[in-house]
Amino acid sequence: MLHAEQRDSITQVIKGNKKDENLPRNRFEDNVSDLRQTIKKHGLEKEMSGKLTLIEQEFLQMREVTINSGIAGINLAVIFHEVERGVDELNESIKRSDNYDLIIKRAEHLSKLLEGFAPLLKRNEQKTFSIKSLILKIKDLSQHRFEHHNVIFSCPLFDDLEQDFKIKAPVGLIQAAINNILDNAIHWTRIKYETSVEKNYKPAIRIQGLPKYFPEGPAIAILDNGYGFNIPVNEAVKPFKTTRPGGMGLGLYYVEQVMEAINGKLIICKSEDLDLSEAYTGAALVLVFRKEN
Amino acid sequence: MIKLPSVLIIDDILDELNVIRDSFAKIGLPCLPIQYSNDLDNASGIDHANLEKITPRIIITDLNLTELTTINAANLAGPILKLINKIDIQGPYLLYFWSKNSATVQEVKNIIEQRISNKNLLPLSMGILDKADLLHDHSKLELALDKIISENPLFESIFNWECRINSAAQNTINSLYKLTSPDSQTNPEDYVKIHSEKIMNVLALIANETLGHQNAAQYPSKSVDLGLLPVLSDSLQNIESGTWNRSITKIGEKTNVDDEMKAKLNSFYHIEITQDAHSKSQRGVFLPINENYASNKENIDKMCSKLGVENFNEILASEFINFERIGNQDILKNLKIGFVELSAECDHAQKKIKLHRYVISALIPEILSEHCKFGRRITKHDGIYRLPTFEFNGSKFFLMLSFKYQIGTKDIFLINSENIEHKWFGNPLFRLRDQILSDISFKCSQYSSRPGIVSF
Repeated sequence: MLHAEQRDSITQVIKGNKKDENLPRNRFEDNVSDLRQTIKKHGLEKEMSGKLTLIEQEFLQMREVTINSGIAGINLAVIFHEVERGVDELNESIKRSDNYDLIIKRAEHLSKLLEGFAPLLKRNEQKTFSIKSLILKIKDLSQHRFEHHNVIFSCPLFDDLEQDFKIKAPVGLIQAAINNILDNAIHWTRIKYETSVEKNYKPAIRIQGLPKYFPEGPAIAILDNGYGFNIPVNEAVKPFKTTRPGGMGLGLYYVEQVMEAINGKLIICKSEDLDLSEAYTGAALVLVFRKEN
Repeated sequence: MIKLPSVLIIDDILDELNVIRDSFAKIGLPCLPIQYSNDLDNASGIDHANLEKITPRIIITDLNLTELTTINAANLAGPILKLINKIDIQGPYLLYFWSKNSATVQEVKNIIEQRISNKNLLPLSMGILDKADLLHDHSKLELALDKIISENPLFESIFNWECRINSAAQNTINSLYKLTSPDSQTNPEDYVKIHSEKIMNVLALIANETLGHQNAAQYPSKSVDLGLLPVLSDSLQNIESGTWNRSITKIGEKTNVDDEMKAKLNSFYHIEITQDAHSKSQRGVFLPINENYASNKENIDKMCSKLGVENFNEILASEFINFERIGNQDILKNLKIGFVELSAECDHAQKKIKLHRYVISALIPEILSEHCKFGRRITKHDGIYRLPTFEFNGSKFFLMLSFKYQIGTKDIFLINSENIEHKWFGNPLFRLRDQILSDISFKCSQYSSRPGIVSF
């Protein structure tokens, strides 16, 4: 396995099992320094050096926060590995004089990776909030997508057909987690709309509250009528596993990380497993929150 | 009311917001920084900021406002669309994305253009300020900010025009301030007080001389504005020239616009849609006949009798409409008969009007244009004034005034200590602006004073 030894060292340091911080720091910094020279040699300073500085700073900042705060329940080693690997690849790509757009794409990929996970490491204040108001906000921000793709979105909580409940968690992280699931649902229902032989198929997504279904605490189920998962569910939550073209394969990994960090859990199942509407034959993802004391 | 043209900068990360704020301070351009809030009760993310006193002309916003994990254009566009709707700029502006995701910006722009519900809220142009390049290179950021205004020539001219007017107003006030300075012998402790009093005296004098004491007392703001207007206008002419020559390349060439646009331009120049604040005695106001009053046949008969006609069709036929061209009279149902206030401007200025002069008029849908022609003439006789077609409430109309039918009356009568409105007059629909009113008044005077010549 490529860089297996170094990966292991980084993982050990991140987990706090190994106190030798010099090894991964030097490794990453050496790679960046190498990359900087390559960029200079290929006359790409104007286009690339700013991006590289940003990637370097965000990586080091994230790593420092991870090592020093030892955030419970969040395993970002895999992200660090990916960034390291990405820096190597970027370096090689420039050396090979790959297509300029490809080089920029690689750099953007790294930048997005770090930007997407940075909020996990911030001081995310836990707040008690109503799940209905969060879903309303998410729906509001995604309304243009539902309209554009003719998605029928429903949430019985909005009509007070279901009892609203409060949870205590970092709002932004839960918002991003639900948004990731919705993003997948919009994508896969659109694919079904474009490829399905069902003449009357209409994309539909539903967010259903399950205040008392799970003994651990209240939950929400995000259901769609797309094709459902085409990879085993235990694979779907692994990082960089995706069948979505252009996807990074981190959406559900992030959701699982967030849910674990707040002592909740992510369940991937089918709508029928939850005795919910059979119309939603696609994916069913449940976020189970810890009962508030 | 304060409405300053301004620059709005928005970011959820305070440090990154401060970087751009400081750069604006460095280049000497004022801006309003707002930290985006992702709170659940903050629908737009900037609900906590009061935007009533500004008219943003440049908006610079971070792209990933809600700290998404799945950074794709569709997800990023949601909060931006909410922002645009919230800021609700009824005019031209530039939208710049202050972002680490420069490669995604084009796609976000496309989504905004396609999916914004009110296309009038779209910016004149959209651009990017790449955080990767500029966040840590402040001098480069300052240069980039400085360039924003000039990147779009049309925007540059518009922004420049607004700023020049502001400068002209400041120059006008500065001149007044200077000429009212107390002499150097004035006791320093009294200096500011005396100076303020002198300015107030001078402004009062200007206001009184402009509209007359009584009118100035009733319309103080208007009287000061009108009094300072000639100096402001002169100051504007003498301020550095604008950049219209660079942005509007068709200036000096023959330019055509379609009829729709002509109607809109005529509205822009000649019509002010009235709010309720307009008095029924205001010069140039168009008052349709009160529909409630006219719903009673007896009332109509009374009105016609006072106007010296059998019915309103007689006025329409003798003044405005060529009935020979009309088959079905149903097409007249959208026509509104009313009155335009046309008292002498100086009487208005001096508040000397005893009885207001109202000229009978017809607000006619453009579709009847051909029915208002008489041979090759566009009016039946010289005592008719026909306004060009303008847009009103989304439809095209033209207004015709007949100088033959004028009444002198008050809009409000004091009866038994009670103010009673004139029963004939409905609520004002619009006011004719000064330029066209001057032309109407001129034609009206010309018509009234035409000599009768005996000839064989």
